[in-house]
Amino acid sequence: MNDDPATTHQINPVVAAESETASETAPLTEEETLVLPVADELEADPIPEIDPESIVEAAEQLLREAVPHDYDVLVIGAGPGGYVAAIRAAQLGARVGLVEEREIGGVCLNRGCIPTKTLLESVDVLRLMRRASEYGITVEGSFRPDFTAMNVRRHEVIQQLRDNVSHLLEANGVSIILGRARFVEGHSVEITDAAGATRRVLAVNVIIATGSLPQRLPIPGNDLPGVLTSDELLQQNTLPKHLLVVGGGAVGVEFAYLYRELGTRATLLEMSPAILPQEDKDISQEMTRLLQARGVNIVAGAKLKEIKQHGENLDIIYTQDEQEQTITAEQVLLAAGRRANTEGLRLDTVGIKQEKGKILVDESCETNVGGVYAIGDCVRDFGWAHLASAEGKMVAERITSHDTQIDLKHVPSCYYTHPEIASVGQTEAQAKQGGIATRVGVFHFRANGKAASAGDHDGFVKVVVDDATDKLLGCQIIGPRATDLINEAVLALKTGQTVEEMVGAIHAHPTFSEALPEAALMARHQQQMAD
Amino acid sequence: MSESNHTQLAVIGGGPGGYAAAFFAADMGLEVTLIDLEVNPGGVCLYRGCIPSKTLLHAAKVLTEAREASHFGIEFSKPKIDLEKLRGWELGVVQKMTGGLGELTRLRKVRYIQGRARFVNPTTVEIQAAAGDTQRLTFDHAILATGSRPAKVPGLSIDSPRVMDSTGALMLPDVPKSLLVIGGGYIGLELGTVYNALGSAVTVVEMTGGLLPGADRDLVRILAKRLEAQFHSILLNTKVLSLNEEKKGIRVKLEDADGKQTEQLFEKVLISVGRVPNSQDLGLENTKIEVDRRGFVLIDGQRRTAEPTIYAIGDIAGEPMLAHKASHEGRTAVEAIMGHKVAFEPNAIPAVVFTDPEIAWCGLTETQAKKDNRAVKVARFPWAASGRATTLDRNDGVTKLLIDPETERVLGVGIAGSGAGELIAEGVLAVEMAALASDVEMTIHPHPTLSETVMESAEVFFGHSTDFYQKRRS
Repeated sequence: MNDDPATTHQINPVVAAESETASETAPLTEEETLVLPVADELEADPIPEIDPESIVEAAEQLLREAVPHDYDVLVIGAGPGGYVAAIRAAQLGARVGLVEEREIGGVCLNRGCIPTKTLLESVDVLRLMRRASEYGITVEGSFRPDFTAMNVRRHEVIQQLRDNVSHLLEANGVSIILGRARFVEGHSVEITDAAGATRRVLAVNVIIATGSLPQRLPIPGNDLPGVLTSDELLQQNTLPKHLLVVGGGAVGVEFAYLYRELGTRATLLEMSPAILPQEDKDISQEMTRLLQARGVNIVAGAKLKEIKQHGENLDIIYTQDEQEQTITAEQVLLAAGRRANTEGLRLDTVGIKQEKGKILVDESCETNVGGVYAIGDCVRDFGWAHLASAEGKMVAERITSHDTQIDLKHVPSCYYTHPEIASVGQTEAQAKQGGIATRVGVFHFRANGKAASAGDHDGFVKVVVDDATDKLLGCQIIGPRATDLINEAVLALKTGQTVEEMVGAIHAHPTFSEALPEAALMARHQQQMAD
Repeated sequence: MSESNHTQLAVIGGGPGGYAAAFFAADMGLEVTLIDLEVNPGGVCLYRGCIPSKTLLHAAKVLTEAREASHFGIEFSKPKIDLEKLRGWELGVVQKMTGGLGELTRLRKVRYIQGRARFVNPTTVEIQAAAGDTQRLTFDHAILATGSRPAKVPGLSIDSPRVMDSTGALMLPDVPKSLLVIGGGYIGLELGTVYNALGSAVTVVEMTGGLLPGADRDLVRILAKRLEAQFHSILLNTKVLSLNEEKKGIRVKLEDADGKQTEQLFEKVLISVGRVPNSQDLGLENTKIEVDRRGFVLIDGQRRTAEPTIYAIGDIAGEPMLAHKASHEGRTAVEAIMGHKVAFEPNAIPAVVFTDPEIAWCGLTETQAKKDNRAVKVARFPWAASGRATTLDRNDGVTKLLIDPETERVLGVGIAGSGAGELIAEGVLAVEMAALASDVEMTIHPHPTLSETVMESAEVFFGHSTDFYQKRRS
């Protein structure tokens, strides 16, 4: 507890001294509020529009700061949203506490992105080995994937990254509090540790970053043994003979691909007419084709009805075109959707508004309770780790009086299959729906030199350009290293580049990245032909 | 020879400069003739350079991964190399790509003549066809894009099947037990990587004090560390005095910095000490075209030579000798011919060394900044702190931004690490559009990718990288 009134206001003065970019719209500090503008100053400058609500908020923040408190910022949840917010707030001079009930790193590091990407990397090596003979490399005897060894490597990678994050938190002076948090009143949070001991913590600002949990679809048989969430599937050290994946989104597609490459029979069940319903139609089609070529059985337009035990296997019953169908598989992965992890936080005791478990926030990620923020999956059920991190940084900076302009509009989507998929901005269809006239350029990797020399020529780059302004609207990539290539498009979108500027930047030859300006060139030519 | 043998634009040389210029000109509505020695366009890049070398480097990568496969949980017995099949794959890629260019030439209605062109006067070339007959072609404009060839070293480039240049090495005649690579530039290191993966004990000898002269040392260090472990040896500050063919190989006399001389026997030697422009036997004396001491054709900002009707692009027109520079110059030249206001003035021509790890940079380098006495802030993000690099088991990398301390503009980007050649594209766009460090920082980069290292470098500049701890300044 800090009772010294001289240091209770430490956030703003410290930050103001360090930062040259301190904003003009930052909440008023106590000193500033005492300085009244003189008359001629008022005439010289138009009176700035001040939102009365922001004055009330600033006053409330000052009041909270005036009361002895444990932390300037308390972050609940140490995933990619929470730990990034905690580190940034600490770097900006705040006293920060970080509450985590499981492992540091959250779902992303322990049960999501990182473990799957580590396994997918093993599978990528396997894929190269299978094709080695094409390049004149033959192997005496046979090779086989050793799933146990892959899992050992996965745990090593997770441990290493978890240690890294812990060290970073420590080095930045963030206090880690292990336990489960629930709101008691206002900005007071009670934390219960594993042994059942509780303590209360008072913070000026609270950031909720509790993420999401896999969802069990409400259908009969959803709790049978062998019906698994991704968390449970990742805990298994053995491979099922036949895995049926429910849900053709990011999680489902990656798992179906992963297990198929490891030698499992894989079926992918999707309710929409095609897998990856959020993505561009052509991208979805190409991924469907490639997965099918690898032997993944894709059943789209299928509504799951029920799962039944069938001897040692499971019968998955679904309707397709109003016909009831059954597929028998050894295990089922429920990969359709996640839900915000907000139960137990007792948000209602302090009046934080929610909708179906999701926390409602404004564009600054602030809840209806001033000084309480929510970021990442707990505000949207399922999102991207990088979006949670960006929101975390934004909130940390806002709290410490920085005016940040993190671009939350252009959030890339990434799928780590082979080939990878990455997209940002609007698709052709979305732009059309929005009434924007577009030009579209498509460039296939089979005409790209690097792709040919690597024998990796599936996929294409699609560039969507605003016909009126020539500006980039969106970019969709399916192809080698798509998740790294997309950033050029993200930067171009954020900074409002035109197709001409994208074509004008010289791309190194021979690289996959040349496909991007080639696609842009196609969009440009479309214009010239139209002229 | 017929009177109608006239073309609006004659492009001499069908490499990445020439064919890009010819295709672009045809797309812009010009009537174009493309002249090259090969059956199809492609030039050195496709026939004897970038493409075959990247094909072999990919095979090298497969081999290296096979050897490290157990680490990824894959049991794998010792891989064997079928050289004939590898050559077949390489040739297949080259034929597919050049065949594709031939097809595009036809589709664009570009007239293609296989032969060697010489200027007779400022508006006429004489073409000696591959079949032997000659013809004259008059033109309104010509673009000279005849490229470059491996440099020979007087006294060292002896006539022996055991002494190769890059062209010979790419033919992959065999895998020697021991290979000496003369020259530690990018060609020597790329081909050294290929032969090392195929099983040769590779020694690199470099005259200067470091590999890849001109590149920033912090980037080179990361590559050098891996190469030192893989190669037999890397000899810096070492001169090659002589090569002598013996029954079992080439006896090489070396002299180190202290003047100490040693002799070693190598089964084969690769000479990769640079490239020289193909500016001879072109009949330049029949035009006003001027050539500098090193053989580069002198040009202006629009790539126009001293002869107003003739432009020159690519390797023949000066450093850097890179395919993508040639292609862009081709576009500039065509636009200038069309009368558009245009100049070739890129801020960032990316350079990529396709070794493992790759090295890539664009815009200002630290080496150049030091030379110019220019104040820059360098923000470095080590890949040891990258989650994606950890999943790939490739923490050997670094990403850095060179930032103007006054304006906070990104002036240059340097990357060493797996796939650096792809990541540099974002850097080029950032430098070209004069992005601020905050633009790069505030752009959401997907997680987990290697591209996050670019964003985190910008965060390092502002002193608040998430994944890399920096001591506070105060």
